[in-house]
Amino acid sequence: MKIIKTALHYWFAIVSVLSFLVGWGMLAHSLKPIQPTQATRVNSALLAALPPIQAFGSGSGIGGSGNNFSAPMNQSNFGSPFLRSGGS
Amino acid sequence: METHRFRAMNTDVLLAAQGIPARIVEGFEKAQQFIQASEGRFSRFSEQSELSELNRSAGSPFQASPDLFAVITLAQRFFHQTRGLFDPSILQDLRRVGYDRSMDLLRKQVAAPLFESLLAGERASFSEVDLDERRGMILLPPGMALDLGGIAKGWIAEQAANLLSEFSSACAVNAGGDMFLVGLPDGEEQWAVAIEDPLQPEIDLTTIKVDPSGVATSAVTKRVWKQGEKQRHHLIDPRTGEPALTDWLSVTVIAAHTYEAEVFAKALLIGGPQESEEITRKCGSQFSYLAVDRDRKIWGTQDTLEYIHVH
Repeated sequence: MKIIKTALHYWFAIVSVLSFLVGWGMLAHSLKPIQPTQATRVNSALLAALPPIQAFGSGSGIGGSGNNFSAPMNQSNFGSPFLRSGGS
Repeated sequence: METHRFRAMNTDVLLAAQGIPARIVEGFEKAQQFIQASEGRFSRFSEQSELSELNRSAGSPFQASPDLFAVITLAQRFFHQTRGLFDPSILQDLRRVGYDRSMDLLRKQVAAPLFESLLAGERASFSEVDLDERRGMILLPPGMALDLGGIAKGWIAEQAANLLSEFSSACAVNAGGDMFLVGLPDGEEQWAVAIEDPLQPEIDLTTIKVDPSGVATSAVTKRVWKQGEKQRHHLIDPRTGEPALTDWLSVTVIAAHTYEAEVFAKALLIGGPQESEEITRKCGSQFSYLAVDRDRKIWGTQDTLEYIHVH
């Protein structure tokens, strides 16, 4: 009886340690959320302060330059246009 | 940087280019014409489109145009790479859940009818589509119908950007968030792309800086409608035939091609964190991704962060 009891003690101890190690390993290799960094916040704040895209130009219409394309064209104040992606 | 906006493919399209204004106007005209012609070819909402003709031909060989053949060849490649999570043959399921007309029309109606009697049934696998490259023939299994919505939009945006680049030193075509970027604007080292908050699209969650490449976002919060009492969205999980139940609300992918970014964004969104790990392990060198969950937490891998330079 004592032998069985001792064996059970060892068994539970080993299984507990192994389970802990396996769980640790799984968590260590799982995907982690990217916490917004300070830089992210700073940049978002800067973006929020920018004027909305509609404010750039007012349909200055460069279109009448000798061809048939007369759709209004706007000019961005930025070197890089303000592009947004969010699904459609 | 000059910009030009119009509506096509049931979404807002933005063309942006820098260079000589007269040349840019010509480029905008050519790009817009290309986009509108391609929409006519790939739309499932037009009975006259080549895609609708192909769908009607299911069971018989169909002589396809080089453009349609190219997109379906790409679709089959991505079907295998995404372990079937990207599957254009879910059109019957899309119709069953109420997406049977363009989103512009769907948004105007109160609620789509709920076809309780139409259950998701067995259908042939997209891998059974037979492509004869030499003759440009496509054979769909009987009863199969394709929706090339996302991949075609990405492909069209990229082709249009390449066309526009012949008239400009740096340009971008953004079709509802699927964009292709060519060259770099003067004085810039990268393109800045704002990522929308999927719960409040008018707000930007963050900004990524990317090299000239393709960027696309899939979201379950955009194309939504009511079918009876049920809330539906357009991303069908091919494993169930129903709108996907996802842990993430949106996924943005950066890849060499816009159609590639669009496909992987959709597959990662449908598959969620577990499948994404598998797809990333298999094809991770092809793309980087950024996912947003219901708590607005941003997910991705560390190498994604380094690549896309979230600031």
